[in-house]
Amino acid sequence: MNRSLVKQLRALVGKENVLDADEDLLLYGYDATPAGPVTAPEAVVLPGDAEQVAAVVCLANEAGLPLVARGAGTGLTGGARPLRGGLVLSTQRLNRVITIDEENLQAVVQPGVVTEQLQQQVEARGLFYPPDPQSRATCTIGGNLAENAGGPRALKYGVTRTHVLAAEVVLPQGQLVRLGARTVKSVAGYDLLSLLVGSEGTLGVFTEATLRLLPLPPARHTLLAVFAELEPAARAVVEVMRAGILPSAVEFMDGAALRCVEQYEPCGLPDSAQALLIVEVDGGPAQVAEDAAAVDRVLRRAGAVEVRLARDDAQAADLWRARRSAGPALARIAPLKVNEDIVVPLSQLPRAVTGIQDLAAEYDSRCAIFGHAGDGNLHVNFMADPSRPEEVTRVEEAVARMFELVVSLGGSITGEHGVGTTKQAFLGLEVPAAVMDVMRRIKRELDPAGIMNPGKIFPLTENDARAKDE
Amino acid sequence: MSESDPLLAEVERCVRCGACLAHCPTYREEEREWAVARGRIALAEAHRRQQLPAARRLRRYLSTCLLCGSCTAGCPNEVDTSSIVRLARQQMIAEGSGGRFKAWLLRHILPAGKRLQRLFGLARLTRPLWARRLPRSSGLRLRVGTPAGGPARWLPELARPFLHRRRLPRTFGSGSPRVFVFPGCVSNYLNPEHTLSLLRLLAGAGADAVVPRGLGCCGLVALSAGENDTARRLARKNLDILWPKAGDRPDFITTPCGSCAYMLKVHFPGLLASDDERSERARQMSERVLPFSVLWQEKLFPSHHLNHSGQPKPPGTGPAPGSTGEVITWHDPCHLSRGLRVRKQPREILQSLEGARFQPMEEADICCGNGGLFSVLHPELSWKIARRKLKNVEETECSIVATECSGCWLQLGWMATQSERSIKVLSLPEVIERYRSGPEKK
Ligand SMILES: Cc1cc2nc3c(=O)[nH]c(=O)nc-3n(C[C@H](O)[C@H](O)[C@H](O)COP(=O)(O)OP(=O)(O)OC[C@H]3O[C@@H](n4cnc5c(N)ncnc54)[C@H](O)[C@@H]3O)c2cc1C
Ligand code: SF4
Ligand code: SF4
Repeated sequence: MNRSLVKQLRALVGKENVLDADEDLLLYGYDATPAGPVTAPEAVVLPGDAEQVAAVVCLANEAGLPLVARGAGTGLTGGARPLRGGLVLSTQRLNRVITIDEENLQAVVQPGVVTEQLQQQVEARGLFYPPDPQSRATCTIGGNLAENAGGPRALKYGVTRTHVLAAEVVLPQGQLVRLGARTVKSVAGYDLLSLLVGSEGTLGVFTEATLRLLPLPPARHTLLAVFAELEPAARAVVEVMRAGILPSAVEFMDGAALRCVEQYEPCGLPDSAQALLIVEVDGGPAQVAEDAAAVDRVLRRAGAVEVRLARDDAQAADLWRARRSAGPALARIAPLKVNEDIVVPLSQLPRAVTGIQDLAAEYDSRCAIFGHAGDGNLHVNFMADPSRPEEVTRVEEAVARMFELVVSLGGSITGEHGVGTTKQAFLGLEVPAAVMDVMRRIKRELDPAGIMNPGKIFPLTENDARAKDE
Repeated sequence: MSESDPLLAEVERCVRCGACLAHCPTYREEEREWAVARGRIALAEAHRRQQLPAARRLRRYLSTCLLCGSCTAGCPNEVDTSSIVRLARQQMIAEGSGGRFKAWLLRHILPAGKRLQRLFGLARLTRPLWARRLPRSSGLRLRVGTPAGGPARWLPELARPFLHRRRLPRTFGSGSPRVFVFPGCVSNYLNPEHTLSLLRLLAGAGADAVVPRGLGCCGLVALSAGENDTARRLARKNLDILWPKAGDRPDFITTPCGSCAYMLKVHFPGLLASDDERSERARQMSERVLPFSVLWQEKLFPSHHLNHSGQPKPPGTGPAPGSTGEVITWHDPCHLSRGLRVRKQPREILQSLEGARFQPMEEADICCGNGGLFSVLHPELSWKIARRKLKNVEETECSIVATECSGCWLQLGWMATQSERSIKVLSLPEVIERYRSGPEKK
């Protein structure tokens, strides 16, 4: 990057907060996305407050420099990767919890705060911030807002958007604005906050968020149910929800995922197991005990061959271990794991699960399914060996067919990981052309210079500060 | 998988998920990507693939890894970052870009028993000149690792005489089991009490314990720095004494230092794997190595148990603070707790002490920031890490921190000098003896 730009950046945020050595740049080009190109940025800036963020964005506009906001780099769709070089704006220094307002049940935080750290702080005061992406020990609130992250508890408590009351944002042309209101209700004008949440860093940089908190549920019980067949397990999910109980989580694993886990970290599951459900209920102690008993009945009636109940955190952690080991256990058996996070209406879950398994058989590829089934959200993992091109092609075809299936069932191609770069090719399947056009116009209007995270959601050449250089 | 290069094969298992960000002690202080496993793995990979030269910055980033293993413990794929970093350091040394002062120290001083002895001898003579009231700006102070803006690096008095000069029994007598004791450098030159106390305890429990003549440094510091040849030389020499071709072989080999135990047990067989004459012996020896706490709890327990029931007390029980009983806390050395997976035995020992209350600290198993040469090369970062440890120690309101590693003992000792409270740092054998003879005696 040219010296004078680096100098200007240093003048804005301080010398030590602009990184431009090769050794550093290399480390801000990747995120947790399994495949795709990794390009190093030309400089990394670490602003210390919202005004500095705004100043950096203004400078990027003047210089026609692409800019990518970055939290912890745990995104799975390439969101934080600087495809065009340019600047990475890291929120690592913006990591303060500003206030926890116990009277209004709100927390005001900077975007670099790690999700779990906020949760621990509010829980220490008997409060609750429910969104629980499985990466919560490291991912940031800013990244959660940008991806509208979900997690197991989204079933009962909703995704990140549900918990954002207001936010401070630097728009692509550098204006620092506040969106939303610090109240539970507000209908003053268009809901731009909802537009920004889930915009994957393409419409602005969050510099502060006002989050809604809940009272911490005093009790929690966890049940694990083993099924000898797949279909009844998928149906059991629907049954649990129909029984008039809203669990705080319903997680699912199919036989392939289970066998991987059992090899990786034996949990003593019967060999006959073809599917597993983990159901969690929370609330007052008496209610929770009652709900757990009811769920137990429903699961058995639906055909569970075994149901285990955990009454305390330690026992629950044991039950959750299988589910949490799923991702890494799969990563071990096959080098390339295509992880899709589709979502279907709940009633279509059995058809989606069996349909995907049929597809895997048809294309002769290994596939394991697990996920937050209670809200219809499944992580589908096709596995391939990258050194065998024909295997990779088969997987690509199977994935394309799966997306068609999902959309035909009324579902969505991504429940929580976002479009980024990896799902662009399939976005048109789900989003009609007229709606895509509105989205494009919004992006062009807000970011005429095309500097804000170019190449995400829409292909790189569209509305991109550096397209002309090609 | 496809990679045959051991470094790249391990690198490939990293999926960049970032879970290590929550576990790495250096990342907690620096909050930059170079300071965490994910970043260091990417740097090591780029260097191996010849995309990054071993310039100063790369060397620094890789040398700030403590090899503490916290990242591996928290990693869903258990990626062994310590090995990756060690291999990268090794390569840099092979390329001749390892940093000269360090290389000289590691290659010529540590391995050569005599020279190391002389160096320490010289240090003892001149200590009053350099360690006491040197101005903060003095270069000498930096050399011994005093952080800018932090407290002066604490160095304990040198032993007088050094352990290897003392008269101790040289061959086995009639007790059982027969145990070789490996003192390690710190106990030899700085605090023989760690070893002497251990010897007294073993003798008291009926064992026959001997410090064989001629042992050297275990070589862990050299290995960590990537000086494999040096480490191998030391391993050969020590092996030939601890598990000789012919002559006295012990039932067990122990040491007051968990890191030495880890080195002997885990790395000797690997380092000597292609040494035809020694590989089998190294393997046999490795099976006999037990850290002191394990030897004491599992092999000697019946003959020594401390309280009458023989049962460890639950944590936090015993005399209340303010009464005569002292409060003791425990720091898990990285190489003991993660390297050898020993956590239970030291706690059991502390819980069974009569007249003391064991109070566990928060984050007991987070690295203290010593990390071999780390604390000397990166005193500022080392101090930041130690400061957190100090806070956790102070919150237990203890008067004694017990540990089982000589590096931790040094670092915790430095840390303790900065506390408002009066805190003693003791090795596990010393703690046991303290309560055997009653809390007032020492
Ligand atoms: C093991 C694992 C499990 C996961 N589980 C889940 C899960 O259960 N549910 C789920 O939803 N996701 C999950 N994810 C995906 C990921 O963790 C989430 O998308 C998370 O929200 C990303 O946060 P981050 O701080 O890492 O953001 P990054 O990866 O750094 O960035 C993600 C996107 O957000 C943008 N961004 C970051 N900060 C800002 C900001 N301040 N302003 C504007 N844009 C910004 C970036 O430009 C990028 O487009 C998982 C990932 C991993 C590795
Ligand atoms: S080292 Fe492990 S925890 Fe860290 S990024 Fe790699 S795979 Fe994830
Ligand atoms: S070994 Fe320790 S210091 Fe090194 S990367 Fe892992 S956790 Fe961090």
